[in-house]
Amino acid sequence: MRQRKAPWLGAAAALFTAALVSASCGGGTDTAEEAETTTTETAATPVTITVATVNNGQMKDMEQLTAEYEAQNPGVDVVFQIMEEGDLRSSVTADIASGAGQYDVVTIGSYEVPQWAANGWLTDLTPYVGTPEYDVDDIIKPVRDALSYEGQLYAVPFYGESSILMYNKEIIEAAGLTVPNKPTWQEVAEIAKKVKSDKVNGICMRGKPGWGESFAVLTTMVQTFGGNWYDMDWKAGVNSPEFTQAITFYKDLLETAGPKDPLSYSFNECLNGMKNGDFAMWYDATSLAGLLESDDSPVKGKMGYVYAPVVKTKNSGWLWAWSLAIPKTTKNVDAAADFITWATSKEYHQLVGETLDWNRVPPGSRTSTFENPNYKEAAAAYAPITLEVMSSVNPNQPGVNPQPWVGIQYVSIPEFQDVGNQVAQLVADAVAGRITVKEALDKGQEIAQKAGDAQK
Amino acid sequence: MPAFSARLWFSRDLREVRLFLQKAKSTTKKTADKAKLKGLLYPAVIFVIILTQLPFLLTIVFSSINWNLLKPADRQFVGLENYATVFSSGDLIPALIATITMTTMAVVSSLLLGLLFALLLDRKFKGRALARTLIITPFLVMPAAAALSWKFSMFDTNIGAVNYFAGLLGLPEPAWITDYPMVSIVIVLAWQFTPFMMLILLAGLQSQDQEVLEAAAVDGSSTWKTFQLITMPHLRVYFEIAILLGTIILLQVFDPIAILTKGTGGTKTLSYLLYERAFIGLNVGEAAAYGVIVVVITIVLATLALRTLFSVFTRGVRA
Amino acid sequence: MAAVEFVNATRTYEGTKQPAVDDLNLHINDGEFLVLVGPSGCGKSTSLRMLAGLEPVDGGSIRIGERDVTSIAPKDRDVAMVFQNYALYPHMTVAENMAFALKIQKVSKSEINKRVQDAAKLLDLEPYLDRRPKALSGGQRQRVAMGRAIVREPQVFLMDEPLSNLDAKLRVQTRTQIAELQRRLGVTTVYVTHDQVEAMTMGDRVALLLDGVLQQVDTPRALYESPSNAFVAGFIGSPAMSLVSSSIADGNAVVAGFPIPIERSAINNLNNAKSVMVGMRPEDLTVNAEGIPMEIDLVEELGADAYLYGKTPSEVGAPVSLIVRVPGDTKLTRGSRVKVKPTRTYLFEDSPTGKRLT
Ligand SMILES: Nc1ncnc2c1ncn2[C@@H]1O[C@H](COP(=O)(O)OP(=O)(O)OP(=O)(O)O)[C@@H](O)[C@H]1O
Ligand SMILES: [Mg+2]
Repeated sequence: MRQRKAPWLGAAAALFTAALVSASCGGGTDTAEEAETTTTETAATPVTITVATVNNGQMKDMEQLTAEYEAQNPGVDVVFQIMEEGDLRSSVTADIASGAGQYDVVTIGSYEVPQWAANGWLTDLTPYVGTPEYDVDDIIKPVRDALSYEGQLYAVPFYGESSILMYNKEIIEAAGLTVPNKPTWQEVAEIAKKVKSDKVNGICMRGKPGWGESFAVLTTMVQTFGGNWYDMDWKAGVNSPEFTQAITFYKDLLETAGPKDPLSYSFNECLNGMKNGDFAMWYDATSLAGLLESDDSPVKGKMGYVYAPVVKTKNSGWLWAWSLAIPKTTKNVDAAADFITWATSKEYHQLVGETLDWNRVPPGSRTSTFENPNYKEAAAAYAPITLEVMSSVNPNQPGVNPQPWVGIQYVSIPEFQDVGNQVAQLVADAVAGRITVKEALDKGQEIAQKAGDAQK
Repeated sequence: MPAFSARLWFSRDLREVRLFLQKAKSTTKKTADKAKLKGLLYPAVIFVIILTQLPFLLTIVFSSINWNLLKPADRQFVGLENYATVFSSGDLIPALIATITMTTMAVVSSLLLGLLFALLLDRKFKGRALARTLIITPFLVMPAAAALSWKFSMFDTNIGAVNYFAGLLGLPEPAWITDYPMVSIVIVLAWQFTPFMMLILLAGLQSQDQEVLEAAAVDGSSTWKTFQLITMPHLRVYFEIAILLGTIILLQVFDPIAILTKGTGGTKTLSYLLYERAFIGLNVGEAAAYGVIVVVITIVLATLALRTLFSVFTRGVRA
Repeated sequence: MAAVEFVNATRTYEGTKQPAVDDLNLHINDGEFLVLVGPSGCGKSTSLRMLAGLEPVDGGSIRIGERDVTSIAPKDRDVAMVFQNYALYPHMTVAENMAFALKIQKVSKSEINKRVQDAAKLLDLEPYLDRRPKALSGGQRQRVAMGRAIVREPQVFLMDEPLSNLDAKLRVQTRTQIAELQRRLGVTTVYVTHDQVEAMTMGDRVALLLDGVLQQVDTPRALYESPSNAFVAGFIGSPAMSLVSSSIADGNAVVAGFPIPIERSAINNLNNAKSVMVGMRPEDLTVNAEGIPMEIDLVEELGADAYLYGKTPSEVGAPVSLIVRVPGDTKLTRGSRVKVKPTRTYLFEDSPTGKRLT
């Protein structure tokens, strides 16, 4: 190209650069450029705590209420960097892995906590949570387990969630059906097929490929069907009969009673569909119940909530907690610890309820919150089931057989994001009918086994 | 001269700049000064080279290291091992095919649509300025926003406009993302890049000498013949620019894939694969190796594609 | 080859009130070389473009030969045009440029080759046939534009100021070449120029336009000898005729105090007007003991002849400009005062386009 001395090359180069810049500003999930930096208080202070957090409602509430914290703690300035989930994960990982030490507090999922703790990246929080006011035992036990490594607590939950089956009572009743409180997947499939009509689909489930998207749902299904990603010897079980059975069941259910364009569906699309009355049932996170019951929701009060469907296990809800942790690289451990114990305290829940709305209290982290009469009233429709489900799941052994990691809808190894994503994409191709389930899972088995081998 | 140029850097006075330029112009006529001036260029050139090539050089260095962000302990030099992994993974060839397919389809369709709109806007009609602004807007929308709005308001099977109109017309209403992932992405890309192509081609059309077209008309040439024999050859260089720039930009497409298909259904292009290796796999070494390979392939592909395209083009014109 | 006829042809551009070409009636004979001349903006190009079909006709009609071409597309009019900036096809060689129209007409390859070769020979373009227009000089480009027209053997040639981009010497040279060529080919030609010398030397007949209105059309000699109005008289001839607005006293037109008798026939045409426009060509004024007083501003020595540029002194009324031809060996210089006497005058109604009275 170079030797063609065209007069426009100069202009071309200029445009090219401009395009590159605009492309990167367009921002995929790979840049942290869209991070929104907010300085709550700019007064010159001796300690500044930088918090990296995820862009959702509860975190924004926290940012807003931090003014109270700063008022109580003169001399502390809390700065938030709010990012999309993908950006957050990559920029926090890069920051900690490279030892840059930009963040004093990071928001991470239960998936990361045990791994990062094992890497020695996180501060052991056990010494900071022992006070009676904090009452660490009040934190729901399965959540505490998921955030612990070798018996020590490495993160405190800001909010937690499990998964449940949500259904539109009107649609179900109109079809003359009932949804049992602890349904099996076969029962759910039956109901879904029966209510399916031109106007209404039987069930919504995440179909968009991704380890945290379709495979959050699918891993719980696989486990209750008796399969799992790995056995105790890290032998992959992706093409096992149980795994295959679960995937086939999922594919059939989507085909017969699911959304028309399943691969484009994540929880957002399902949420819209439920609100529209396009679906009779929805299997997804407990935290989404709050959105179905919010004041602007057309289906408020019309929803029923039951346990996650099972096959061979007693429970199959997943477990996730957005948690606050302190990287080892911070220089302000004490101030950071003080802040995160405040942000996850009973006091903070009270503060949210009183100043904002009881509906906006971060759910799924503290048992006492579920006992608060104000919260009970505001979240009557889903609070009891959320607590029940969250207290009954077992992150140490969610499936039929024991597993060598802690966690339900994910495997707590660094390779899992990648393995989960690739298998999710293969399964998506199978759902779309481009390959068979067997082809997808045989290929997935290879991928998973490579990662399994790395654990031995 | 140095004293003057130093003052120039600090001076905000445009007149002074102009004076300096004039002076520089007159002095460059003397060859001795010319050589001196050229000497002054080298530091700048070296600076530019370092600035532009450094990231790439670092990528090459990284590609020889086994470095998984989540396993800081295992970091070590491994030579070409990362390349071996890449070539044996079986991901490279499908990604290459996906990249070529997507880029070609997007470039060709946006180019044709761009030409159509350019021809339309080259005519005088009422509201032309408004029409031009409207047609340009898709290019000003952020790629991620474009992909999102297509996903929710166009392709959605319940509330999307595409299937709504398809339904009205009695056409089939496909499940776009599930069944036609590649087509869906290409549609979004064509929507976004048509204005880009149009702008370049419109500039070409408007730079055409009106008298030459009139001469052709008087010479007995029909509108279509004139377009074919006069306008198209004139536009050739503009097509070259449009294809070149369009290809380079479209080779790096990321957002619509991330938002619409996540790389399923044969839409996992090199750039998306690279993203997955780097940000999902968190494997810096392997990702860097992919990066190097992608750059090399891009250069080779772009060169090849342009060569063949243009020779076809030139021959077409001559015939 | 064919005759051309404008019948009440009118063109008004969008957004303008006054027509650029107003009710033009003009008959051009088969094989004739007609020059359209007039000051800038008078509508020459517009007339030509109407004939080519590049500009719509808002009123009236245009005929080429037997055909009414008013609403026929340019490509079907069988006319060839040479543009002011030549409008060569930039990406084609000289040969391809000339062959373009023939190719469109699907003339056989051998015939095209022959005609292009012939034209190239005629125009001295043979060495340049494989060059692109970019690599040609202005004069060469001009000849390619001519060649492109002549290979076509069209019914009418249209040329819009084809020489205006050439230097003076080349212009004179090419002028004769074009005229010669046209006579040889015998193709009806409409040639636009704003240069009256070009018009006078090239045209069989010259049509003079002003503000879109045809003033007069005639042979160069007739235009010179008997202009139909003051504008034509002033436009044709170089140096120009001196036109002086004069009062009438006792049957005489008085120019700076000097009485010029008005012919009887003219008096009848005057309709009791109080003033008249007197026109005097430089060669019709001689230095004389009696005559119009004149103060010389400039003496233009041309060898055989010299021209005196001057004006009447202010003592005898508002100064008017005069141009006088004298023999080349004149001793008169700037600042001298002389008297000049007209040997022949033209009388017009007293306005810039005043009608001829005699
Ligand atoms: N496209 C146009 N729109 C509006 N008015 C125009 C247009 N083209 C020409 N005119 C006007 O029409 C009149 C005649 O224009 P035309 O080009 O025919 O003049 P011309 O005699 O060729 O002048 P010149 O010797 O300068 O080329 C002018 O007053 C000009 O301003
Ligand atoms: Mg003109």
